[in-house]
Amino acid sequence: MNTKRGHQAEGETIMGQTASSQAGTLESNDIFIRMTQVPEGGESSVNVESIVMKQFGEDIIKTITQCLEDSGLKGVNIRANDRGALRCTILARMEAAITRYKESIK
Amino acid sequence: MVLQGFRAIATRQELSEAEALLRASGLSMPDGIDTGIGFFEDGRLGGTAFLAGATICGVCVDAAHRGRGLASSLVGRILSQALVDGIRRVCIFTKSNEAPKFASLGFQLVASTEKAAMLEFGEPDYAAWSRRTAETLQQSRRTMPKHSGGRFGAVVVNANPFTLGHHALVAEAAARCAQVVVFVVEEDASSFPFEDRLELVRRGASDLKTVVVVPGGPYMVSRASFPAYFSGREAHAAVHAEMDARIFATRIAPDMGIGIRFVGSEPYCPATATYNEVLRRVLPEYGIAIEEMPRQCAAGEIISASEVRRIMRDGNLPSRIPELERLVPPSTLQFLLSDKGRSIAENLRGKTGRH
Repeated sequence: MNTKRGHQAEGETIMGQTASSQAGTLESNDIFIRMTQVPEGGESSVNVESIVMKQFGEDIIKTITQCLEDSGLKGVNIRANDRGALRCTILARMEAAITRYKESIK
Repeated sequence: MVLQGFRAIATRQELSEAEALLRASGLSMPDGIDTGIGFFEDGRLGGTAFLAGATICGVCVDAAHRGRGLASSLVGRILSQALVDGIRRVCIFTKSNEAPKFASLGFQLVASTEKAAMLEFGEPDYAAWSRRTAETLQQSRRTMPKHSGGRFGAVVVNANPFTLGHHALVAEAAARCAQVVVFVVEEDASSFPFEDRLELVRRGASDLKTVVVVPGGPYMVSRASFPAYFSGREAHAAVHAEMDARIFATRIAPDMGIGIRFVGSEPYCPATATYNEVLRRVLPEYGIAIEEMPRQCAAGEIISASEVRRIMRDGNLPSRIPELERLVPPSTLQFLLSDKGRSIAENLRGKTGRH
């Protein structure tokens, strides 16, 4: 196998230049969370896709937003792909994502 | 007790096992793979997923293990791997009946044909690329000479490297449209790196004031990157061409307001000839005109980038300048004679292929 890495489309968000992290998986009953830094001075945003959006979408967004607020992080874009995770799972994944995000800033 | 789990496909032995698994499902081993993840049960491979550049490929689960959600796990894992490696956006080409499975994992559909579908995950996605490209076009329209309406045209080039043939095609398009957008294929599957190809097109077409040169993003699908996945029983070139044509016709052209596409005729390469044929069939279905231009000649020979590469391969470029001057504009010639050009020629000598 060669070790060449794929060409980064649009070239501006290459790892190391901006903080980012991810946690979770795309398996059933889990949630996959990606956090990326918003360019200079931008507001935080939370973007959720879920297989149970109709039933629990609002709850999921509220849970994630609360975690983000508690973390004290500003200017973060969160994208979550939810596959029916329980609240405790979402909290655990958010904690992991936030910890990793803070590490990626250092 | 059964031992099972996911881990990297690392050894030669595992790779050949993966190849056998794919073959059993009528698939072939993808080209240019960077990483692979396998599902193992008692040391035997039961499922695979690979990453080649920013493309997920070779997703396959052994018949005995199907219906357990293994494909989703494999895709999820290879996706995480890609993101960890700094690839923020990945795409997948799959059979169109498999597309809903990937959509349910959070992949966004870019376009689909009867046989194949292209989906992507992550950012920047199609929406971001399209927004940015539309902005560039808007901006350039402001500084362009005033025109009295008329349609917008498009030319897609790989420009490996930019020749007088490309220039003639773009110039002809410019003469017939209010504005021409030149999309440069962004896939780095060519001898000349994308950044250099883009720059050479920009410089080479700078005399044409109504021409805007933009990166094609991952949406001008290059044949080299299109997975051999489809080559098993279907004609690879036709499936690829159809995919690329649908992306252009259903997404790019409407979003950029493009009404006509210009292509150069292709007398030699059968794959490109198929591609032109598919464009001629698909684009009009969506109300987009297509114009095939005869290729530009020099000294009785059709000008082609592959001819330029052949000369580079032969070596001793300075002695070939008169020949090259008939094939490429001064900006490209200057590049060929630069240190960068020399090292590309050096690499070319090491291989013989279409790209």
